[in-house]
Amino acid sequence: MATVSIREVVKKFGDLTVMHGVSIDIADGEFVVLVGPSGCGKSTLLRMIAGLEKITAGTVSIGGRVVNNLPPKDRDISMVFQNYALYPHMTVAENMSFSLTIAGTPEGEKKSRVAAAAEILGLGPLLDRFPRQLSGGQRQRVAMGRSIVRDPQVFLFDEPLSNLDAKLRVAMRAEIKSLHQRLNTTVVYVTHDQVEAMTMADKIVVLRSGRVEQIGGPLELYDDPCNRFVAQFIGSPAMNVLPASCRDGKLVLPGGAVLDAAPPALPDGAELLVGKRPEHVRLGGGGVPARVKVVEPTGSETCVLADLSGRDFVCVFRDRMPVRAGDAVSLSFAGGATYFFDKDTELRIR
Amino acid sequence: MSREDGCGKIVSWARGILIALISLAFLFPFLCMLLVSLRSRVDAIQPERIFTAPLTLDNYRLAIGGDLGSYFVNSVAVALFTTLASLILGSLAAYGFARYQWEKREDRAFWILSQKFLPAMAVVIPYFLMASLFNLLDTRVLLVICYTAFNIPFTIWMMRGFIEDLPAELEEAAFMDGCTRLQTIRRIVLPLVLPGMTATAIFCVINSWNEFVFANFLTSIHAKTVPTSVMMYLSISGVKWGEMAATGVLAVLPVFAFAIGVQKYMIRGLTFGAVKG
Repeated sequence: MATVSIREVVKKFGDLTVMHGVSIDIADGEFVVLVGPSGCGKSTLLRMIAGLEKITAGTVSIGGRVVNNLPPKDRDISMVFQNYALYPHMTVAENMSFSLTIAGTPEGEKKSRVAAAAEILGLGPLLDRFPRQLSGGQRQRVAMGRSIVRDPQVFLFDEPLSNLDAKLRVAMRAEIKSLHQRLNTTVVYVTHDQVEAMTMADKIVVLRSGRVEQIGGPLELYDDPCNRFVAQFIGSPAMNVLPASCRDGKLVLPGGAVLDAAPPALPDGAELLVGKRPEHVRLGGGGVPARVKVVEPTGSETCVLADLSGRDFVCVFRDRMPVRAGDAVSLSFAGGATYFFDKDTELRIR
Repeated sequence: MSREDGCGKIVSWARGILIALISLAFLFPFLCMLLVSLRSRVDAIQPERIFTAPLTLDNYRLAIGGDLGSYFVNSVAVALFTTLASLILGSLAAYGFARYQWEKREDRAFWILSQKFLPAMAVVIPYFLMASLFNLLDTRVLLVICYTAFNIPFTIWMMRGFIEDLPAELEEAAFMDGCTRLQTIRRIVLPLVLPGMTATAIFCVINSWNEFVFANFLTSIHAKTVPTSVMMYLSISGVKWGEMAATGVLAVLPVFAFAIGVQKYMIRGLTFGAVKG
């Protein structure tokens, strides 16, 4: 176990700057997820922690030791890659024990450590197989086994579940989380899937274009986003955001419809963005008129896409709603939280 | 028998006949050489008797009885060391081209390949002068140096493709597992590109085994190789077709045996290619 401290890290590829002074503190045994859209720099940051990418400026420290100039092998970390990166010419056992072989670990100790890791991951019967003889989930487990055997200070995961089908992804998610609870090692996990981030993380770091947008616990980010980007990135379906203006103490949409939510303390005529999570909208109750475009029943809930003042608006209801495409409905903003963002900076107005 | 089965058989037969015809076209020169090598000196120059004349091994006896043995030793030694040197130097250079980024990398890669465009005849005189300067004329070392210089561009080009096909994550995983760059090359890259290396080695062996221009101009007695031995059968009294053909057949056999021997590694390569990292 170790802390990881990232201080003002900058990464440039030629003239292109892809990380703009990122700072993150990761505590001992913490499960931190770096999340963001494609190209936000999350994998680059992970690779810089791993030592696979040079750091242009700033420092990365592991266990209090600055590791900027240390090669990966001297950082005492392990990494699980997106495409598993198992050595195809080695058996599962050889793959798992490769790092120990390189370190010159005695044969007996190697065997016992591989056996222990195989036991944790249920890989016992597969030890003599080659990677090509394994399913996607099994390969994923071998990749994790390879990391566990090393007993590193920090585990790094680079989108490890993105090659798996939806069902297996859910199962592996739980497996990784329970593994973390069991080993209690510091984990840095990269994903673009916010559901994965929400379900697994102790702490989430939301990145956009090489900058940290917000750091916090999953529910903290969900309940208290600092800007429109985080508000819409965290949560599925994404938060609805509508342009509105304050008039006579009311929130008015561009078409003139009035929202049944209290406006923030802004001067009359001020323009802003109003955010509402799909699951915080209620049907009826004297809300804003809208027209249903699509109804998607999933069994446990009903997802409704409506046209609200000429914009798409998504609502999720826990009940089975008796509405059909084309129905005129009214959507109430009165329940749950309503969020306000500055129209220009898109920062949260509290 | 259903109509589909009948059509399938016809297609299968037609494909077989086509393959046989193409194979025959390629094998025809070799068959001619084989037939000529098994005829007497008189029968060998009579095309109408080529299929009917009695068989004889005299040409092989005469060919082996001469200096052909030492030529074979020279050819084997030169091909072996040329292939080794080309593979080691070429593969390491190919790794550099495949995995490192530097300015004008592609221009330099093309420049290296362009060395292959140069005909051997264009450089043989300068090579002769340089070899004379270093007292290397008529030595195997000289041939190994010349052949390696001519094989390396091709080796780099081929090996670069095989190395680039390997997912970079495999090497990164090895770095994370504690390997240095050289350990990664030896333990991960090398075993995985071995099939590609085998294919490259076959080309290197064939190139050096068949090379004629350098061997003919830069050697005279001690380092002569098999291809130059055909010159022995040209004289003012005529061409000894039978012995020349026998030498040709004998010259083909080692390369043939080598290709058969390393075939399993090439097949292994196909299965490797099918595996996802």
